[in-house]
Amino acid sequence: MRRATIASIRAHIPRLVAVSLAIILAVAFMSATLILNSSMKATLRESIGQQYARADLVLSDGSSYGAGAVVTQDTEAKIAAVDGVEGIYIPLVSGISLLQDDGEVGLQVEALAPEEFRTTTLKSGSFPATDTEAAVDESTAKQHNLAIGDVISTRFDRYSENTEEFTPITSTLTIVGITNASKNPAAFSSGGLTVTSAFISALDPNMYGTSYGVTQVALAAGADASAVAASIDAVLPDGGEAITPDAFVSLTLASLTGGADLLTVVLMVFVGIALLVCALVIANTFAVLVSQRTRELALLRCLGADARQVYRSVLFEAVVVAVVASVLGVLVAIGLMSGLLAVFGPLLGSAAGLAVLSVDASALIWPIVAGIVVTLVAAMGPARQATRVAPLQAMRPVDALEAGVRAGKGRFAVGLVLVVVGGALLVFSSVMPTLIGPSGNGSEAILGFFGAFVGSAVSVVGVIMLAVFYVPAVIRGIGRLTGRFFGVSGRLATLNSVRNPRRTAATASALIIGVGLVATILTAGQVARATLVNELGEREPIDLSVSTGYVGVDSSVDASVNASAGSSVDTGYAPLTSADVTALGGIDGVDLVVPALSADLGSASLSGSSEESTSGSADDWGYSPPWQAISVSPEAYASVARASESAQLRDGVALVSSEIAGKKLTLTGVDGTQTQFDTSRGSSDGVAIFTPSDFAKISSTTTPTIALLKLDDGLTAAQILQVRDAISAIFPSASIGGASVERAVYEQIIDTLLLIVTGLLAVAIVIALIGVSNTLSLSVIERTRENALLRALGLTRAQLRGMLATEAILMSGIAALIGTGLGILYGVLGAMSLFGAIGGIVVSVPWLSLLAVVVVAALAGLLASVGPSRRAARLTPIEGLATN
Amino acid sequence: MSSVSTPVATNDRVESAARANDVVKVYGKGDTQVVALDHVTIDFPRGKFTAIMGPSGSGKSTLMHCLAGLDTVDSGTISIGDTIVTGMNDTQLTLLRRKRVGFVFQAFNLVPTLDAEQNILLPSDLAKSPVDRIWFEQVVDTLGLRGRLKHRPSELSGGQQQRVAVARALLGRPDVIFADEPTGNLDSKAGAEVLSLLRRASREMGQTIIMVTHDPAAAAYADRVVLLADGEIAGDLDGAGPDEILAALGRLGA
Repeated sequence: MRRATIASIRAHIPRLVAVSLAIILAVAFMSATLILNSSMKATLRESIGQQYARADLVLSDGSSYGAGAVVTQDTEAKIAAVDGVEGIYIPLVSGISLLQDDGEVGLQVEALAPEEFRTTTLKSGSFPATDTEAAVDESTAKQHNLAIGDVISTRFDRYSENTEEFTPITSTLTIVGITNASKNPAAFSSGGLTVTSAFISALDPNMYGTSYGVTQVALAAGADASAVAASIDAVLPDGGEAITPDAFVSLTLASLTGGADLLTVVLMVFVGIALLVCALVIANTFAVLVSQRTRELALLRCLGADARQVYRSVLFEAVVVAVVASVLGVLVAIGLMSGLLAVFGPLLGSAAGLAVLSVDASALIWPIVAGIVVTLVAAMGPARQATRVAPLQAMRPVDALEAGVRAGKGRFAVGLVLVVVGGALLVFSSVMPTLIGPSGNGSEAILGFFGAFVGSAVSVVGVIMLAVFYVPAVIRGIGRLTGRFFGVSGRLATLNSVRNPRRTAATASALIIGVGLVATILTAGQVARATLVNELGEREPIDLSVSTGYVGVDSSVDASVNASAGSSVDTGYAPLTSADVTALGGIDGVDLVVPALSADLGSASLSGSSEESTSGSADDWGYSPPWQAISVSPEAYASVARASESAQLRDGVALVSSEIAGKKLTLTGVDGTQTQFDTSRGSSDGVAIFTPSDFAKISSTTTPTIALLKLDDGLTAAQILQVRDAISAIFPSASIGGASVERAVYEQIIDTLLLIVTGLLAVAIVIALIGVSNTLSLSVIERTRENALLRALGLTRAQLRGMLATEAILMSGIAALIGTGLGILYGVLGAMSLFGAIGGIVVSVPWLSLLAVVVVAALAGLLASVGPSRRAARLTPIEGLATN
Repeated sequence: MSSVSTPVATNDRVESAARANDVVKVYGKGDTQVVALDHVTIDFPRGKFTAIMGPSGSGKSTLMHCLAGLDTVDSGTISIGDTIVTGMNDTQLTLLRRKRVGFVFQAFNLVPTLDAEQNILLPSDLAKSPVDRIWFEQVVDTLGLRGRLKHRPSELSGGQQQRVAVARALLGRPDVIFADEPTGNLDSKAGAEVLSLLRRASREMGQTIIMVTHDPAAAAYADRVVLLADGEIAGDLDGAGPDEILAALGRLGA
């Protein structure tokens, strides 16, 4: 029997290529993900560990997230006295300001470690030897144009506990060396200045206990590390403990790579999807292989093979395919990842946290196990089908094979129940947060999302179970159209694609899952994007506000503005100067400039509970009243603000941030009386917007000092930064506010995430398309005689190819359409469950992208038909009619 | 070794439906070379029902395939009606088969996804040519398929399937219908039915039919029996009965 199976595998290798390819892809995906994770960890471990490379013990604060213990001078002395301790090193790290012509920048400043603990290495020059010398790391030097021999000025603000004041201490240092940049991702910078410890101690004698550094201990030769550690633990206060650098790095790593593990978990979800799709393709392939081999299997049964032997023979074939393909998959992953590291490693290096290739056993074993298990499980159904082959079937003519496989009523019932129950849960969970509205805690949102997730999962299983019923129906419906346009070959294509509903449904399911997920993600992303942008518009309605200089408590205005304002004395509606407004308006990307009056609100207070909010009283949240008042006409506000229609500026109402909207704002007027305003949503935090007449009650300012800018739609963050730069160039002392950059960054983050997720899902879609090609080519083999007959009766080669192409496009296009439809539904509902609680869900469907997905899927289906139809067309009618 | 009887002389009065002129067909190369047709010249007059007989390997199927444009010849010419088939490319051959030739095969005659009517109309659908409904009704009634038109092949008996194939072949009024062992899979009663239908089609409708068979009883339905042996014409009988045919076959073997 085994020999027969092996012979059969050998004979059918071409038929197994596609299914192997699907397994290879899925396994490689999984393996690459695991390798990515372990490589990231290895890289981090190496770079974090670098700084403790010369220590025997480090002092942890005993917490689980890898922080150093605070060591006072007193404790230091005690530790140094512990038996077996050779040396102790407390890194002195602080911040210092580098004073340059164009302003000051903050730098990390670190004392040079003693020789025996030093891990910093010199690139050129020497280490600082005196209090007036410093070394600077390579990248900081590049960033700030520093070179050996340069003299720099620094300022340190020493804080005094007693006076609660800062005392500036300025020093002058000569750069004597350039050090190599630190690779430690946990470090606050790539390095900064390295100075003598005397220099730092002079800056602040109380540096102990305030530095970030991790205290390192060197042991005397022959000392027992654990015994010494125990003695140190005894003198360390507050649960601090001495542990090995390795253990400490592990702690730091764990706290740092929470992110990396999360990434792995997320990637594993996509791996799971790819494996699921792969399973569908495998099940399909083996079903076809078994049905093609009916005669062969029947013959084996005639010759005395029992049902179990037949079952095992099919499974054995699956195992062989799975093992070969899985091993190849892992090899592909290793090759791919080492290739990626070789190409991009030097480029990104530690910046991407990926420099060391690490392939641990789990990255080898689990993908192979997964590949084999998935293949076996998927092949079980077809194997069971093989046992139902009766020995008598060896005698029957081949064309009796065609009896359609009908799906049972049980399947229909279970599928329907799953769809109804899951769908109901999904809809309920999605609508609930919107109905409840914004609420104090996020538990409804989490519950809603969880419910929506479970609901989707359950209903998707139902949708896939029911595919065998609706996919052929949809194909038949749409095929009627193609029949009209493509004549008899189109009609034959339709009939062919529904002749085996179960196979068609399984092939389509794989694509429905892949395309459906992409559509879900695209739609949910679009809804999230629109909702967040809308919400940001509500919170930060003004794209950019340009204050012509920071206004002090006395609201005195910057001299340059005084000059310009003075030239245009007007009622207060007048521009800063028409020249200024023209200059701002002339900047590329600026749509509209509205000049406005601005005043400080010295004595504002909030009272009353919010009328519209259900999130409890704002006082509980400790929101402070606005500190700045801006005056602008309602018309100008409407034209410049991105807030929704509901945010209307009118007399008696101040527009404030959404947190304090609805409360009463009480201000001291210019005449000394208290004036109370209603508030409504429509401004950013800290800023209240008034009508000019209201503004006149609280401030006598009549000179515009602020310009409100609306930018062109669709600018990227980089473009907005360019606009800001351009503004700074015109008004060097201007302070620029507004959330447009933030908004653009959010949009970009969501877009990037969408791109990545879509890319990850593409693996599943590629596997599904391999399935389409596979199904088609197996069908072609199955229908050799039929195609030969059609050719004999007058079907041209081109028509035959057209027929198979139509079949492929029908199958993939319709699966893509169904997937997209489902995806839109799931995407919108999912986004509602997640963002409904925030309020203001903006339902927006990315039609163009979705259309592109459907078109690409259909075209890929067409591509998938090229191979099979070429093979089919090559066969002459006589050859085809001669085959059995 | 065989006495080549002169084929029916090409008569100006009798137009030929199909014709092979000095046709050679060789399969394989070197030691495995088989001469399937060895300078065969034969003419099939219009309106006649001819049976081609011969032992296995005599070249009868090859002759049919070449005549029908399913296979190419190595030398010589094939013509269907007044059209020279030899030298046509695949598409030309396909179009020729579609319009000018009908087929009835031994088995697997019908497209399983199409019902009987769709199978009958398939060639005209492929050619996008209009269907002569009156002719269609007449053919369907003659072949007794009236009640079966909406049935799938799997719902038809073997005899019914062959009758559908005959109807399909007749519908296009082709220059010639090729039947390749049309009764090979049928019991004697169903076989006799199909053969009578073919004979009626020839006699009453003037349809030219060329049938390949190894069954003398089937060949006896034909107007003319051509015997083939080792790729050469080995006999040509007109209106022979089964016994006469059997005797002629026996002489071939001798």
